[in-house]
Amino acid sequence: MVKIVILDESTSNQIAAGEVIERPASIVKEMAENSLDAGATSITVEITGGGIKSIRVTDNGDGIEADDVAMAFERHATSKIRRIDDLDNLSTMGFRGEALASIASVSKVEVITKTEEAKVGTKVIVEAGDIISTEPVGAPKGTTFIVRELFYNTPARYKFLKKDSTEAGYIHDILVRIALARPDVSIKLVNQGKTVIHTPGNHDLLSVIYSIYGKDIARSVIPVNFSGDGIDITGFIGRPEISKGNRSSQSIFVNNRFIYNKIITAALEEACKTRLMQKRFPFAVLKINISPQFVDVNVHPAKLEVRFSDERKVFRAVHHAVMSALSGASLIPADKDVFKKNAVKEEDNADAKQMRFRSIPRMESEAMPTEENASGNKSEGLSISADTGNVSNYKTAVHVESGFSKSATEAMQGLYFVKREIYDTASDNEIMKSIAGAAPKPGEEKNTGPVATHDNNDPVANDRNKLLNAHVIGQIFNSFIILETGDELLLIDQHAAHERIQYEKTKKQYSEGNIYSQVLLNPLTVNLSMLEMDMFHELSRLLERLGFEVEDFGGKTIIIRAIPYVLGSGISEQDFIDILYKLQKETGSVSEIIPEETIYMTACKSAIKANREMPEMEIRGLIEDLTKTENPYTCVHGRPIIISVSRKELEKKFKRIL
Amino acid sequence: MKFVCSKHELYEAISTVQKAVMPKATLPILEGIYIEADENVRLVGNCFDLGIEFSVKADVMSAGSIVLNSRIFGDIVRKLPESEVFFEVKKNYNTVIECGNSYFEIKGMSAEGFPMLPEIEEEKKVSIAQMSLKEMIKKTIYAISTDENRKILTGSLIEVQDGEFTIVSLDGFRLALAKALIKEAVEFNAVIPGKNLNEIHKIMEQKEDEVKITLSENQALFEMNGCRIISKLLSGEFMNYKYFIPEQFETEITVDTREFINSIERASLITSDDRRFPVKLMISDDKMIVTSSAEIGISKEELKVEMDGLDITIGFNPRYLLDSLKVIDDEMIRVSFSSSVGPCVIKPIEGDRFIFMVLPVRMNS
Ligand SMILES: Nc1ncnc2c1ncn2[C@@H]1O[C@H](COP(=O)(O)OP(=O)(O)O)[C@@H](O)[C@H]1O
Ligand SMILES: [Mg+2]
Repeated sequence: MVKIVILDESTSNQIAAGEVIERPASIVKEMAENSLDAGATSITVEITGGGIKSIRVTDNGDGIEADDVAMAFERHATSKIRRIDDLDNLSTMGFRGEALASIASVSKVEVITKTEEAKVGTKVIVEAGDIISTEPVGAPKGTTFIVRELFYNTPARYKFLKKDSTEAGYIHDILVRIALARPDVSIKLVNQGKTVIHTPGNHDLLSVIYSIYGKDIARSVIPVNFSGDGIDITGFIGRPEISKGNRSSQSIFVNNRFIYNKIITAALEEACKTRLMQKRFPFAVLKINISPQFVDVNVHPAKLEVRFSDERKVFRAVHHAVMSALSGASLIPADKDVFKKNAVKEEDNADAKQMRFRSIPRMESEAMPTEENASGNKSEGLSISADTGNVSNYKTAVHVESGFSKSATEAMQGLYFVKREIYDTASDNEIMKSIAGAAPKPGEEKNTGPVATHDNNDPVANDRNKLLNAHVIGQIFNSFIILETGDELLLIDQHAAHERIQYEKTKKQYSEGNIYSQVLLNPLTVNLSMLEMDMFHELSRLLERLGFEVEDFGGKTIIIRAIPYVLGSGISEQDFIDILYKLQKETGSVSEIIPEETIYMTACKSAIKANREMPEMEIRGLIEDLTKTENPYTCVHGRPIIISVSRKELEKKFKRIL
Repeated sequence: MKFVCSKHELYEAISTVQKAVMPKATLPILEGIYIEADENVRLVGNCFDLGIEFSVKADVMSAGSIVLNSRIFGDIVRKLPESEVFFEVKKNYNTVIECGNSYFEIKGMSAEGFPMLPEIEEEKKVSIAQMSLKEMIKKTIYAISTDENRKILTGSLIEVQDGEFTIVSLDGFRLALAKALIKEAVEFNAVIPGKNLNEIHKIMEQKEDEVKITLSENQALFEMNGCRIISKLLSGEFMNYKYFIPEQFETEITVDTREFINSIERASLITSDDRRFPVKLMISDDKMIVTSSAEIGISKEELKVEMDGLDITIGFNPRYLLDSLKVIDDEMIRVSFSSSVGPCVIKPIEGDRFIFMVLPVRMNS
């Protein structure tokens, strides 16, 4: 007979810990959140051995009363529940008093803490959940947790840990999210003695982006500001040239919680679509504030998911926010980018030396790499290969060129982080000082601050005027147009420009034409989900106006009897559902429902090609038409249409100035 | 194995069986053409969806079989001078192809392991004149759907019943049906993939000679001109097409086919290749006005027709009308409209050798 026993406390803690403390990053997350809950304005995380060997989290928060320290390690011990007056507004996202107990049961923990009032601090040592010692120590206000030898007593869990560098990467990601979520708190991550993240805590999100992703990224973002319909959206969206091949540089926060959400990414990408090359994803830090009523609370708060009660509204808001941010900003790649572009492919690192003789792929292909930037590329390429997920152009943050070879070799040795070199070579203090100089002021000169300013009064209109008033120098290689304006040389890709013009024209024609509907031989029945059914009912008038003849067939089935004529080759069930989602946008014109490719193709086919001579009359016409487009900056595939080279840059090339 | 044949005939055989050879396969033998000599020479290509066997007249000196890579064999024979080709397999499957002053020796593969065409047990059999089947395929193949989501519609239905041989194709917007009379009293139902039907169409000749069709559970065999073609069948229920064809009409006209085609072609000059504008037909008082309007301008043309029933105004995708009209050889046709949003049916003046049906475009502005 098997006797029923009650598991002892430490065992149950280990089981529970298995569910939540998966890896060092989970600890860092819990600890940092505790620090934030304690009102800290500065949190430093120091790790060794990927956080498996040790994690030290130091904050300047409220601290814990000497009498309460031991209790904090008890399961379900929390000081926070009494502060929660409204469950809907639950502001802590932790373990409901379980984090410390769970952590302590699988590692060796030491805590040093002092409250404002206490004369001395308290130091407590806990091992495998048992308090080993408690003693008074001298300490500043705040709390320091040291967690050592994670999973030393649970070998099975230990085995599941990844390489130190990978674990360190997870910690890095967690802290990036926290730093982006809380620009009011200075976050610092020190890995093996090297500072890899250090945000100023000056309440300025752009400064956080600057310190995490580097100067070039921070210079290439456009502010997003939207408010309406119960949704506020702020943050930054990257210009096309800093887009990436994956979504790793998209950070979305809903009510200050980092999340992944399809609707939001779809809206974001849809809004950027014609400005980005295919398979490129925009850089984005978006903060969405939405009344908690519209967010489904049944999704576990520790999860990275969120569900909205009105997805359509969220989609629309995000789409609108991003669209208007993009259409209001000048997107001409600056001269810096022309001659010194980063984003070198990983494969190119190996023979970085030869790189100066090759052209750089894609967006950069127009630019001739020079001596100078070839050496720059070398280290920049490495920073990407080091897998930090950051595309920052470190080079520009570095003032001392010679600091490079050293940092490059270090990075090569497989160190996870290469950011530290920036701070070393550029001198930590200098950069931090410039960041600390509060939020950038409008109208500030590009080169004086670390970060470009974005709120010139209507840069797009400026660019349009610039184009219209520019002096036409002529055409080169029968493919590019050169214009001179003020202290700037503008180069225009004639095919890309004409393609953009044709694209917008075609799109407009589609949305303005009469609406005809093609009757179907055999009506198409489509099964919808609840959500889609609701969308269908809401959109049914619009669908009709677009040329659909659709009926509710009962249940969750609808029946399509006729489709818009422009959909020529017919539609499938999935196509119709996709159309429903697309129509969630406000516009709802025919051009929204026909596949983009159809418009692209028409545009591309009718656009003049490269290698075609253009008389000046035609050049002028092209420029005039270009200025009338909504987006004169990128062709429909996301390649730049215009690039600019400044006089200064040329003078530098000719060594007239340094 | 050794034989002599004419380059011309050999090349015809190769290019025919090549239609059934996988251009890229993981097994080299599947990229090959099987060649066998006994009394005659026969070539086989088989990609499982479609298999073709083609016989060539030849003087066979010694019998045998070999598999040669389809692409290289085809390329070589195509470039040979118009003369006699000597073909001989030597040791280790080395194959000599000689013609005029050119000499090739290429590596072949053992014929063992080549997927030969399956034998079709004679379950159901029907014969029809080649030119007749060829004509019916031409009349219907354009209406095959390209929508891979509804696989069954990417083929044509062959239906044999009550002494009638019928082929039907349809996609989301139109239907095409062609019919012929046959002597045999069999019942027969098969959906042949459009791609294969197209190859069969090309191989058939404008002759009275019959093509024999044999049907098994999931394959159909077509035999003619010393050629055997095996096509897999598309599985599933074909749509009950009869249900779609209306019998009551509001308006019926008789019109000159050529004039009708010309007027639609002229109207679509205005809408050009940009598929945003339909053509409009306005029928009243024994005339039909064919018009179109687009951003660039409008067009208008009047045709004399013989008309029964009510006045009607109806829009169409000009391409769909033209696809049907262009396969018609009859001088005059009967066009019937069920309503301005219902299907339009095109038929010969007499009988129902063909029935084309096109769904209209609603012109609500
Ligand atoms: N960095 C810190 N500063 C101040 N108090 C802390 C800190 N970390 C933990 N505590 C105290 O320990 C308690 C238990 O923490 P934890 O196990 O994470 O549960 P929870 O955060 O859900 O309350 C907290 O309620 C808090 O009172
Ligand atoms: Mg907590």
